[in-house]
Amino acid sequence: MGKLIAFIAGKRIRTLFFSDKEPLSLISRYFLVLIGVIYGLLFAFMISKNAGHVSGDRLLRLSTFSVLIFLSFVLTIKNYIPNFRPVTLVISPFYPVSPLKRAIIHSLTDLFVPTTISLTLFLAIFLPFSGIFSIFDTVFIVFWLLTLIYSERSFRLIIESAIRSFIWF
Amino acid sequence: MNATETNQGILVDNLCKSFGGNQVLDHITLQLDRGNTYGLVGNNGAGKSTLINLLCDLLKSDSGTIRLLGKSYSEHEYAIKKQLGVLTEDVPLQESLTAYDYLRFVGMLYGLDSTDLRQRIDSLFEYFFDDPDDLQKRCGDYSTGMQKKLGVIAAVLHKPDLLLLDEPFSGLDPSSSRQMIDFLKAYGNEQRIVLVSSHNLTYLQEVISSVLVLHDQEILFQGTLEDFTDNGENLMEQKLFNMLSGKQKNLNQLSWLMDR
Repeated sequence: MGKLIAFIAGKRIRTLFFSDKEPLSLISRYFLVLIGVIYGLLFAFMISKNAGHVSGDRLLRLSTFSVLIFLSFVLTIKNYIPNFRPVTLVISPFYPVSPLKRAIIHSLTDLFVPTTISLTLFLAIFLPFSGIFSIFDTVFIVFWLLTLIYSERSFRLIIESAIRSFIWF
Repeated sequence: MNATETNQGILVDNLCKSFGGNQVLDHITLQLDRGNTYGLVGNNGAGKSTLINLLCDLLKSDSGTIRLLGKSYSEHEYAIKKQLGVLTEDVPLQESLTAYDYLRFVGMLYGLDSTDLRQRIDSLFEYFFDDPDDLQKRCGDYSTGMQKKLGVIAAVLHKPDLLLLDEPFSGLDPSSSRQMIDFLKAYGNEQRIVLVSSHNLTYLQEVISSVLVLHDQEILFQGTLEDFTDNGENLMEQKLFNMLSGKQKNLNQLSWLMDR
């Protein structure tokens, strides 16, 4: 299974960031990733500079969580606006792959999209370098976002299943 | 596994399927044996693709049972799918992948050895395509006919005993259609069972040994090609036309369109 995941992830990364098709889309993906890095650095710098000075760390943590709520909102609506984006079906149901393996592969490959990559870079820079977040906070934030991503994915699957049941093949 | 079970191809019993209250298949019962190539024909919307999608587990039935190669999906899903090759109407290609990477990916799903896989891909590609460089083109850049051929290659990479093909001739040019006909004729053997759904009865007639006619949610005819065509006295197309409609449409009502 590891080989298959590595293959899919490798191909997806190559398509997203090293494809010579649609140069504008390619630039926008790089830009999105760059935004993740820059904002991660800026937030980390801002928080670390103000830690212990402005009304206590609690306020800074609160501001951080409000940013996370905003990010959660963006992650939730990005697959519905401007139009509904169906879940990518990497492995058709007629292939001999167990449901568990299929779910793992789909879930992992779902993370290889520019938004998630940008968000991961943002968090990977911001959380350790801001200096006020404990391991517990980091784990909490990561689980929050993963739960959000997979809940939203499940919701889309429900919508698709409802649509399919009304389509005459 | 007993002898009867190993000889079984497809057994469908009282299969029903509806979409949003619209009944598409109503208590379908059929038995397809190994060693035959079946043609699935019927009007648009007769439920041919639905039946194929149910057989390959893309759809779940409302009621009834399906047994493939003597096994049911509920008990032996993995074993059945290992022996199943499918070409659906819309080929599920990964558009961003090159044809080679896509076929490699499919081969990996079937657990094929990489050296063997490379040989299979090369030989099949050489048969179906003229330009070997096409193997490095993105699937998304393929024409409809090329995608169809790629879909067939992906369906047979693992040498399945059960091959389900939905409209394999659509979008193919005449020479590619000929290649497909020759390929399907050669693919069938006494261990294999091939089910081909198509509207192109001229091509289909060259490939199949038995006919299934689906009409009004039911199986209208199931038998050999000889029986269907009255030992070759009738063309399949004419026989099917008489069986399903028999009405010649009048063009007079379209005179406003035809007149200058």
